Amino acid sequence: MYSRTYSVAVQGIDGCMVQIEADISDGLPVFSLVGDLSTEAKEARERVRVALQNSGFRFPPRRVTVNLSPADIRKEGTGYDLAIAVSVLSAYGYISNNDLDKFIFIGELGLNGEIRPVNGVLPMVHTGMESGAGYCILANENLEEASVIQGIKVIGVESLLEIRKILESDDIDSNVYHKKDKHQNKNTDFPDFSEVRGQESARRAAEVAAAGMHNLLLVGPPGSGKSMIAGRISGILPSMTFEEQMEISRVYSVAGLLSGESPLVTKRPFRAPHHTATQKALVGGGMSPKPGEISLASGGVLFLDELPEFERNTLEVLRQPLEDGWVNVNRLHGSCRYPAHTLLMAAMNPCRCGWYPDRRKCSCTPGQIRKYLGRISGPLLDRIDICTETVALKYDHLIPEDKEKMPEDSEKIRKRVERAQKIQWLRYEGESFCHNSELTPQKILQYCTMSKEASDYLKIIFAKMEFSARAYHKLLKVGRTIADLEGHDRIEKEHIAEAVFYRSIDRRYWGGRSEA
Amino acid sequence: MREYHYQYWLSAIKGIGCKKIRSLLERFDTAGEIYRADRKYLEKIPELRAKDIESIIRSRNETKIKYGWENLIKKNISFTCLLREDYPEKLRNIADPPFCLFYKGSLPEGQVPSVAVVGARNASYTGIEIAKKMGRELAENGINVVSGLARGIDIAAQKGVLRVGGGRTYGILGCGIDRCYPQEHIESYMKMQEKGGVISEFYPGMPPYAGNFPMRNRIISGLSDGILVIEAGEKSGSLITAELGIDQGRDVFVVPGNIYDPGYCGSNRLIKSGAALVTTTRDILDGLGIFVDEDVSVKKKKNEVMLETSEKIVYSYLGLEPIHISEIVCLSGVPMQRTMECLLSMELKGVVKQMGNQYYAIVL
Repeated sequence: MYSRTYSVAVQGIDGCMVQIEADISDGLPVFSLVGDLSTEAKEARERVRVALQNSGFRFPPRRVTVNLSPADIRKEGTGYDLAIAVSVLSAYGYISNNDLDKFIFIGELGLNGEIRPVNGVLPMVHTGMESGAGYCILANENLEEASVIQGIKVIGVESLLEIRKILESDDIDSNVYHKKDKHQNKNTDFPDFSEVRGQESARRAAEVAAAGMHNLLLVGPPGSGKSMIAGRISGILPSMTFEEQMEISRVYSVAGLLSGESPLVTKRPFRAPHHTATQKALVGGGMSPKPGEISLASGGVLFLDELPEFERNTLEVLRQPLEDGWVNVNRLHGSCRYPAHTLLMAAMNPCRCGWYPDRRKCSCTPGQIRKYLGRISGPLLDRIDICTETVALKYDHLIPEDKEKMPEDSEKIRKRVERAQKIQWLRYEGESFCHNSELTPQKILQYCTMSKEASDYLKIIFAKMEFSARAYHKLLKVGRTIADLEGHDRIEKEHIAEAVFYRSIDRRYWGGRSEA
Repeated sequence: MREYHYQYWLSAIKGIGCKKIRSLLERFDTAGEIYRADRKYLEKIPELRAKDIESIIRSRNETKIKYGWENLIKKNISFTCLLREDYPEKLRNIADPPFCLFYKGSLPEGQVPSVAVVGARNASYTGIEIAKKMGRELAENGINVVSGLARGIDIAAQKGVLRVGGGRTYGILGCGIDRCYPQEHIESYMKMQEKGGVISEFYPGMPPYAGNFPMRNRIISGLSDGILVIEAGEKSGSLITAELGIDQGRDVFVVPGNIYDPGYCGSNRLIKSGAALVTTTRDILDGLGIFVDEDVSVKKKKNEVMLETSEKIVYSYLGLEPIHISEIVCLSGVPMQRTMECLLSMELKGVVKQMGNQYYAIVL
């Protein structure tokens, strides 16, 4: 007897349909499982056998062969248990449903026959829907997450016996789960910008960074509000579209970070890995690849506090993903691709003690300061478009005298950012990118047009300040974003002037106390 | 072997320093005579111990000496010693002049007045700006500036001089002449060889040992007519230079500072004990008895720069202590973007300077 069921394998955040074929034939009583399986997938043999027996099914001793096809794709995880069990049951004739091709099965089996949840359900169900499956059967715990996908009916089950009952019944649709409330797509619940006192220049820099998705570096003494500002940037980014939510939710699904209460990531992520994070933790990897922090922060903010404390090698691996917006993790059993459209936000002290250039508190020598800053490599700095400095707060900043001086709240800032992003979105229609930060030098020529006054001004600045070609491009990109914020078609002189302010920390100004 | 070979040999004997050489020179006229003197004669000199005589005799190796000399020439290092005419007269007259001087560039000319500028390495922006300004003005008045090429005040003053067309400045090193310490001053070190010189009494290749620096300070004061102290702290090395200068009969000029600023503690103490208080370069010139018609530099700066109204407003909030742009915005009420524009254009005009990333200070 032969039977066939379907499940889904996950590679990166993409799924791939897997056929599970079971065959019962005469011969020695053996249960064999083939098809390039990892250890945990191979163990399905024991789980399935025991679970079936404990559910009350009896098997005459025959030779059972199960094949997972395509047989050349590495299959990892325990999500195939259910599909294997159903196909064995069907091969033995316990299930008489002839339309098993319409279903996909995802779930791990317990020895008592119960169905347990697995990670990565979202991309799996999505793949099932795309391949035309009509129903998806999975554990109750995975139900919320799976029901986000439209176009496929999802059914939650508790045990093998329940599955059999459903598959044998005439009215399968009565078991389909219907989502109760529509998910929200509000980008709320973030701490508010009105709580940040003073720091006018850093607030403005954050706004510009958010408007053009420029990477941002905050430099400042301890306690000046760098982390506060970082935590609020996600909140001034525009709300996510459904496509964005799906993409990021798939990453979270694979990482096992989605739960029943929040089956979909609806607010922009904010990830702040500790500075002891390894390369793999940041960009993803491992024997069976998992997405790293940069992918988990995709669409939102990746905050690296105490930037110089990160291992140099760890930071270097961020370079390629920041450039491309993708991480490729290559392993023996294939490679996978995770999204990495992240706004990188880094914070650091200006020197080891943190108080430079306040000489009453800082006693670092120029050499020490240079060494401290030297821990961040130039190529990484090159990918940071905006650099700004926070200042230690004075008392009257902390306690504003009158209500009118209260700082702006996130809502107002977000409105401006949304408008600026919309301008970009319209301008870059038909391009492969949609933010100013992604402009290549060639595209800069095309899109960053300046007024005559501005280009003359830039020429003077360029000669006086000894900029590099790369600094020039950054300047124009940031200038473009500022012009978008102000609603100007062309980049004007004042936009250039502001962009110059956000230029990268230049070695010339650093440790420059003696450099009169 | 020529006389200069012998002089070079004498300067390089292990264990024989300035004092022993001086006592040798009381008995001999030339270095050649010392080279040829026999052991018995040397043994009669009370200042020399057996070890020293041993060392003198062992070092009499013609090939080695000639090789060393060739090396100096190859590295473009010049050599002078007390026995020579070109040894700086001012230095010759101090109590314990160094026997030899290695130098690159030139030696200071005796008749040109020179001022030593010394001060804190870890100086404030204010101090640095003052040093730069006074260095520049001294040079404009044709005065040589002697200093130690150290971080902070020293290099600031010397850089100020190097900016003036005909300015001459001399850097006295605490290490071998072929080393630039600290490294980051290599640009000034090279420039100085064209506009003045770098001088050291230490043998080429000598690392910058801490003990070298107090010794070097006597050359700084010895080569100059007056010593200008800017920003000296409680235990500053500049105080050593000033004291040496007083012993050598030099005038000491001090820029005063806030009495509660520990960075000016030493400076203020010098004033209290009788050093001349100076607030302008003119004061130094007067103190040295140099007559000038008018301070050339002052009038030039004033009418050079034109500022717009909002620039003037922003400028009024700036000082010598770096201030962050957020604070300027807070105090002046000028909007952020406008402030940025003003600061940038003033920076381009050269009247303000960016410190750190978004801190600004005025330029003197």
